Amino acid sequence: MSRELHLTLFPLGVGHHEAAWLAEGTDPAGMHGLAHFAGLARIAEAAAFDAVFLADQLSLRDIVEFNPHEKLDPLVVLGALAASTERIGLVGTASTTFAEPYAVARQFASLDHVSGGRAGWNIVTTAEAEASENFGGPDGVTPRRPHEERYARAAEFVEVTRGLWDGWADDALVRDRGTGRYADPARITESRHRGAHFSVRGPLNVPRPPQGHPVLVQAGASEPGLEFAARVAELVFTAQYDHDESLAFTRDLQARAARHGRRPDEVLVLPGLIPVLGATEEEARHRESALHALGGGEHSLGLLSWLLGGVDLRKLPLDAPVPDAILPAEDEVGGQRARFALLVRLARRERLTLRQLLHQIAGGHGHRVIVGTPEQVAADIERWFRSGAADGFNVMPPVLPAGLEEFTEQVVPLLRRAGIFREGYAGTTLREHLGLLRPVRTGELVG
Amino acid sequence: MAELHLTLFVNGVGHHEGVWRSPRTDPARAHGLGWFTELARTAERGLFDAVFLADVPVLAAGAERDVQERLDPVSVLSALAGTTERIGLIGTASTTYGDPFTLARQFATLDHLSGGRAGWNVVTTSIPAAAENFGAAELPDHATRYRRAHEFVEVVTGLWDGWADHALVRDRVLGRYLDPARVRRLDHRGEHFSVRGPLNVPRPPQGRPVLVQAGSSAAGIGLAARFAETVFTAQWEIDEAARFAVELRAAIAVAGRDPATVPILPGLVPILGGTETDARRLAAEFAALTDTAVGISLLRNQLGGLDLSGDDLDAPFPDVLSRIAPSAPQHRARLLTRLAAAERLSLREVLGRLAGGHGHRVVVGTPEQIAAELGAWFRAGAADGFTVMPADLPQGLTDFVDHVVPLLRRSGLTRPDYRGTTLRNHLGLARPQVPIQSSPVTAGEERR
Repeated sequence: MSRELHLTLFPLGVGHHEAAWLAEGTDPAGMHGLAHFAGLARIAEAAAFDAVFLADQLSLRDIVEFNPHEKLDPLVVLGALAASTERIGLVGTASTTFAEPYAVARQFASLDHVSGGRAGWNIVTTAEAEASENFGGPDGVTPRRPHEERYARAAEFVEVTRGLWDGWADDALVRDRGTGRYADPARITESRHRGAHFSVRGPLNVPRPPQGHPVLVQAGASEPGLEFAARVAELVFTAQYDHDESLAFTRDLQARAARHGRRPDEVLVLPGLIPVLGATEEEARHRESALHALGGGEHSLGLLSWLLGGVDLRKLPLDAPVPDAILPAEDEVGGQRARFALLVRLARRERLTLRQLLHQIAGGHGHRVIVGTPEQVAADIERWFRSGAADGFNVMPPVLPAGLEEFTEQVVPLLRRAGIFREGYAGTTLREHLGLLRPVRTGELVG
Repeated sequence: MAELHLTLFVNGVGHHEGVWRSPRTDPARAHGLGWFTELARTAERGLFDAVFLADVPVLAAGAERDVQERLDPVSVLSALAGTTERIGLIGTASTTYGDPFTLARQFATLDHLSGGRAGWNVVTTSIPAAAENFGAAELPDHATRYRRAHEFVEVVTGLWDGWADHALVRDRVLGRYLDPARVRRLDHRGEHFSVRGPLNVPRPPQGRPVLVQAGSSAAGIGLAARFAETVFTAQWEIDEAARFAVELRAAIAVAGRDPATVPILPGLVPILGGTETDARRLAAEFAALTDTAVGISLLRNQLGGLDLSGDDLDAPFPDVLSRIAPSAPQHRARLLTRLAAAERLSLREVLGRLAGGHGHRVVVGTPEQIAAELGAWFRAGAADGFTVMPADLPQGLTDFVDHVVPLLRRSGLTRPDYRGTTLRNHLGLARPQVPIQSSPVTAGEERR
């Protein structure tokens, strides 16, 4: 089978641009309702996107006044979307730092059952101090975990979760009405896991998911994050600004995966992409400026100042390059701030002014913004796809639903004409959309 | 005027043990969305207040012989938010495993997506094996579990209350999205949890999702007295149910709440037939699907070791009161004796009732008999409604909705239509007010 482009929709509030809620045509008052999410998922589904992806945050961000930061629980939203859609995959973020594998395994297995095999789990470790303070134990003790330990816990978490999914053979439920035998206990096995972070007896109380395992997704870009992705991820979300860097990233990840005995096509790389479209390039640029002009600058300024460790940016001129001295060394920006490191690198390399850097943050919070005509955007996508710099893109419309409608109406047909994107779904499960195999049950004898 | 409330309790393909073997059920459907949707819509057609999904975070014993697997309730209920319009969505979640921030978020999200139809059945989990799925060798003791439950519910309600209703100002002219003075941190520090807050989900449409509670032990009543807005209980006899209601309402009053506002909904397993004979025949059919040896051994545990395996299954229920050990608890023996005498049941039929109810009351009869029975309990103050646990699904539910509900409506016990859109509306519960805002999050304080 020939290689196929993959597209996922990453909706955030009423759009990824910080000023989206101020834009005409968005409805920030409706964004916590099912109709909002269902409407977006159906547009993406009509365009045969692989999946809708919901990110997550486990605390209310520090700067809440100027921009929406509240977040509904992704798994609950995806459960509702299982009923509002038919084919599109449902990928949700869940943290391995502040949850228990039995509960997470069960939630994703349940989502996979109710959606008929469309679930995906974006595995994240959570670093924010604010989040840990929401999950504290007795007497104010909060679970602060260093980076390496978080990944060790994540690795064990995933091992336990997969073990729980595999605890049930696909045909464990025999339902023999004559003998009264409902299940074959020999085909349901306990995990009896004992490790550094978890002890889990099992079995799960949910039968093996329709996909065997929901699709495993990962997005960390740090060294342990990459190693983790190479070992377990089937889909990798990443922030990439530059074609060659993205190609190097993808090759590196595939090489790492190969060292863990995996084939390159078992790991798909989807960089984030924020398309700002116009009938002409000039119109697209004008639309971007109009978004920037709507406001939200206060928020970006606060966010940048926070990312820089509390530097007061108000005294700096907006149209002069950001002084090198206030930008941290790249290796100082560790852990989950890897995306910020990318911004710092960009600021240094391109000598960005403070205004430009603020616009980068406002427009894509670290992801790549592409401004142009549908033809330009489609050509760019095709170039990255054909060279192997990307297997597809995680589409992050700047305003919703308009930005998604424009992309599906104007860009997707061009991708189809180029012969790289499907006309419609060939299968019913997320694995089928992504061309991923259904995992064989661990411990199962082949033959 | 008071209304009789009905909720649908969904358990496998029916509440009756072994009913998956009946041709009236189709167990292969039981994990799909179509299945849950069909049941919820039927209950919605019957104007039920809510669909209720029980839960335990462990594969319970007996998976070889009966449906023991269960999907995560919140995942199923969120899907049902998309396939139903009015019916409430109550899910069980444990306070012994899990953490309050996540739980508060999940139920707040369900409330947003469903337009105010979420309810949380607070349980402390009493199955010991669950502990081993969450890294513990054994269950915390009863008292510890209940202390943790109190603190857990305090934190969850505190997180929901952390947002004022109008915190999201969305002022496009000023570019101001949220008023930080209307969102407050919780800063909870207690025996089990430290939670800073605020929640990252705005105040739920209902203010708080409805809190449901089911423990009938003294500690369970203590928890219900403080927090429960609806109580689910197992009651076999009208007098005892009325006594329980009086006791619970007194405890609620002592806790400073208005007892009149808390509906008490005993479990009820209806087995219906066009005639009493038909109903009895169906009950016998279901009973035949169960293992009488298992029933006899369960009965032995309940009757202080009395072994009935030599008794004739089809003879009238034996005189167990004269045969049980003097030191054994008499309560269960008396109850079964009264039940058997009232309906002239054989030992086999008593075993069937036990297998049908899993601890809850089974009623066998015509729609008229069952509707009369429900009305009698309601009028006697023994129940404000019922948690309907159909013996078999979907047929047992459809029969109840088509044949019993119209009789209840005709006698003015249930409403002619939904009066509102939220679960609180259905149950007649007030929307909780947000407590006075204190320690607001200020921009200065937050931007460290």
